[in-house]
Amino acid sequence: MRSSFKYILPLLFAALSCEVEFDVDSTGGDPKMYVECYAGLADTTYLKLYRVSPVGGAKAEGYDFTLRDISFTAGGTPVALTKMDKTLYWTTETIPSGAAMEFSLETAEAGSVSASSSMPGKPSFTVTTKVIPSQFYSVSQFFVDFGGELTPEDYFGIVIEVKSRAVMSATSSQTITYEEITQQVPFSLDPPEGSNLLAGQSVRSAKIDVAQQDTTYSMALFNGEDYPDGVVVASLMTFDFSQFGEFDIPDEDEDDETDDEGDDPVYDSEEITYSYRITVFKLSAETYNYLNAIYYRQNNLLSMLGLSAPNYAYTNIDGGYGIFGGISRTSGDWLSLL
Amino acid sequence: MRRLLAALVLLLPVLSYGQLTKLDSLSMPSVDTLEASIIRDEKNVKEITTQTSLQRIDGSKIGRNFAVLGSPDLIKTLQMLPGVSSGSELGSGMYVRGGDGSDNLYLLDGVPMYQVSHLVGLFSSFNSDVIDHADFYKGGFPARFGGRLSSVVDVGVREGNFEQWHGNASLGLIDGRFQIEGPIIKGKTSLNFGVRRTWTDLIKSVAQLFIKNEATQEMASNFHYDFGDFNLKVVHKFTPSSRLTFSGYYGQDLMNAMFLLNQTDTNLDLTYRLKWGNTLGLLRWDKEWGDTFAMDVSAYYTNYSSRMKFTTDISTTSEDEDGKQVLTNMNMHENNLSRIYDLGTEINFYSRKTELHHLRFGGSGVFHTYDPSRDAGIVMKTDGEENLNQSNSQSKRYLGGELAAYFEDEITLGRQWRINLGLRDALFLVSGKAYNRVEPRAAVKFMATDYLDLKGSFSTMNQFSHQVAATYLDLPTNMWMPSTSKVQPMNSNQFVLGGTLRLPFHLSVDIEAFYKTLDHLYEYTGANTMLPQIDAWEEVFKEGRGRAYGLEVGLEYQTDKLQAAAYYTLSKSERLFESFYYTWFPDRYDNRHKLNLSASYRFSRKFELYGAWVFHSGNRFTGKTGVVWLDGEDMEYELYGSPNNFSLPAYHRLDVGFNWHMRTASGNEANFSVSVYNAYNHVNPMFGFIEESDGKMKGIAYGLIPIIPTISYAIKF
Repeated sequence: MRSSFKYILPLLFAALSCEVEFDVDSTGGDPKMYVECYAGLADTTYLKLYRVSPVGGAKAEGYDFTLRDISFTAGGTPVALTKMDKTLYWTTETIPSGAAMEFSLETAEAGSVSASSSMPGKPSFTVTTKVIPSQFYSVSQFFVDFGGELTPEDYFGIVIEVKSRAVMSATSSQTITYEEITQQVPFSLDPPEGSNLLAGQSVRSAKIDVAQQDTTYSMALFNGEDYPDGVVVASLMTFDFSQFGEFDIPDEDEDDETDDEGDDPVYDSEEITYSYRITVFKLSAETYNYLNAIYYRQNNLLSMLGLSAPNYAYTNIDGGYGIFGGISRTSGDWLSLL
Repeated sequence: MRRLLAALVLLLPVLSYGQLTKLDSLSMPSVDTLEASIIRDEKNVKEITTQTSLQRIDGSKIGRNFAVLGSPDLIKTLQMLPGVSSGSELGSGMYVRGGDGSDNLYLLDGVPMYQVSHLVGLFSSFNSDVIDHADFYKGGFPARFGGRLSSVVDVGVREGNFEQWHGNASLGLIDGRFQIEGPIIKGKTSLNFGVRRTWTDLIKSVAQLFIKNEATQEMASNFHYDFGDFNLKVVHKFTPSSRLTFSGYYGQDLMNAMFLLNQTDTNLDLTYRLKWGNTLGLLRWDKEWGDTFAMDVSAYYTNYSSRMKFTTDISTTSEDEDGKQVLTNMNMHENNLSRIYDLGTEINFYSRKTELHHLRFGGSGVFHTYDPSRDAGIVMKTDGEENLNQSNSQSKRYLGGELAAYFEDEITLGRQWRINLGLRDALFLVSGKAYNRVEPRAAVKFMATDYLDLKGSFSTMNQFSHQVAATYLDLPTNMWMPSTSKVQPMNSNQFVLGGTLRLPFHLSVDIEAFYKTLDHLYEYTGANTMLPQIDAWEEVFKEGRGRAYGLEVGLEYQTDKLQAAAYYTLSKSERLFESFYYTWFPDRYDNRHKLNLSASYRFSRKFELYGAWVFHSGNRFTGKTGVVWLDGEDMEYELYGSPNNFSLPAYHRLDVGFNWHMRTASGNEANFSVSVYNAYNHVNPMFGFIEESDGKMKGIAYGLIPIIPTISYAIKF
């Protein structure tokens, strides 16, 4: 019996070895181009171009391509592009709202791509606010009224910007003003305390980043279909951590023998004020789908494992990868909440 | 030695959990003749009707097929058929002709069953001991069926013996079964009762006796799993032409897991409890008037519910600035309930007044209640004083009504032509929204010669209930929701052309070609979670379409001693979800080729040997197709060309086994069976990635199911 188990158990455990390596077909073996353009996001529209090495094919640098032709039209009118470096083009031309945009390029090494989209009109809205205090936290609600019915063809992103301004006075009469702007996304608790952004939409907000040179926006996405009355409630929750007692935050430099703590000025008063601003982005359908795809790629491991719907492969670049879409942006006024 | 034994005993449920196997079994509903372990359609059924795409599986044959850890299984048997993909290995998924796993209509004595698996798919809910037959329709649906897109599995429970009591008992590797039947009133009233239960908890208890390691002992103590179910059927004959039937089913899975951590200043208590199952009840009256007219009327109740409870208690002791001991408690909980229950009634009429027209007509009404809910909360206390108390709950309750009427006419034109024309009208009412769907059904059969039949059919199906699932896994946390104003009823249309050729030398060939479209399909688009959202469920599912087409060929050979079959499927299945991708992409179970070979040989009345080889093209997965390399090694972007763009390596395995039929000393029939699942131990990939390996991008796939030997024993009394 003992000898039997000596063989049975190793056999069973050896049988559980389960990793299999296999060759995959290359994607035709041909390199393709990656395009990233969020037209209208800033005053300047940028185009990022990279060469993509196919899985299973030859490896090449992303900037190793020769551009033969590039074309960008808006409303049928050519848009002049300026080359900044090998992978970046830009234009300062304003692309009119509603204009149909066409893009194409041809390279020597990575074939041709084309794409089309449209420039959405700037969103128009008014904002009213409400603060709901609670024992341990407060909720700030921003009622964003689009002034009419939204439709399934309306795609949006929304960001709450928070400006904190600290004025610190020292004994020496020295006064320092420090200002910082951060972006916040609405949270998903239900009304009346929270946001009416649907759970999926506000959850989706956390890691959707749209980078445009120096600025990166994180936004909550939503579709007008879900807000037929045209009012979106965006909310922030602020915890009062003092309820949980004092936090002892260790000095990061406490081991630093050259600590020059004694040279720092001592401030005997500090006043911090906050103000808030709503920024709404109106997105073309292509931009909306692509940002969703990015989010799911980053946040759905189950899908990566093949255990959930593979919804992260969206692109509107025919013959390549990436996004060619439109975004228009409107920021409201800075608001103070009392 | 004892440690090894304990490890082996513990390993058995681990091997079985969430995985699958088809091993041989031995149930023996009727023991005298052991036929092949091959799925075989009942020629009788196919040849006397115009029906296409029907397989009738006799209950006694299910018991002789390959079984999961010694327990024969209907769903595993159906998965072997052409046109059916099984999804993940050893699961109870059925993806029929490009359909999804939730669009199969499972009927137990005519009562819908919403969840048909135990142990995360390892066992199905159908106890082979009590099954009389199962009719499996994958196309050409008769008008009396509706409510699902892709298949109908109509399982009939066997009536008990009206003359004498008998039964059987079976012992598999991790479950046992007992069945008994006989007359309550001889010749008038019969009973058939079957019960199953896992041994996993008993196995664990025995294993614990041998475990000396304290941590392992505690781990074993803190985990519990069991499932069980029973079937009961009582039939009373008022007269030879009038009978009353009660049929009932109850099944439940229960899993408890705990994790305890006790340290000087921290205590952690984590508890997870999951319970799910079905309850069904049917009362039916059958009445015949001569040989030409019959009627049945029935009322039923079906309920599927799943409850999950998750709690975490953490208490910590620390010192404050004054050196005083401070006790902090945190309690978190999450409860999830997914429930659907139906009250239904149905009436059917059959008329054979003339040879020319055989009529069926009737109607049904179902009252659905969809009732999922979830709540979660956190409470924090410091020295008994509450610091934080937050909770969140969400629920959706829908009441839906589904009314349907149908008519079928089987028309015989001369000796060669038969036509079946049918029409079904279904009305679904929910939350102020009404959907009316007319479903035409038609089938034609041309008996060209004594050896050749040609058939064709068209059918339209609609589905008003949607399974809301965050993953493709067959989890009890999945919910059922109705069609609403935002979520349209799903729809399918299917064309089938085929024929049967009876050849000399005991050979027959069945060929069918199909083309199927699916509309208003829904896929989850949320982030990481096993629990789909309840409040916003309509928003996190995106609508799309599907299409599938293919050719299925079956070749069978049958003599007294040797039975052999070969089934081949060539098919393509695609999806179009424009919010995922702009054009059609392969379905995840787009298995281009599928081939099943099976044979059994009876050496004598006592010994039988069988084997089956299963092959299909690999399931699809989504892998990156391009990479942007910057500055040599840095991989800045990973790009995906289209969903499901890669195929896993092909799936194949061999199952072999033998049955030994004997008589016990007391004269009872008994069966001892040994079988081996995946005999050459080919670990078949279940999911995969694209990764860099040795400077090249390669596919890396992972499989879990190794060779699994099984023994089982059954005795009939």
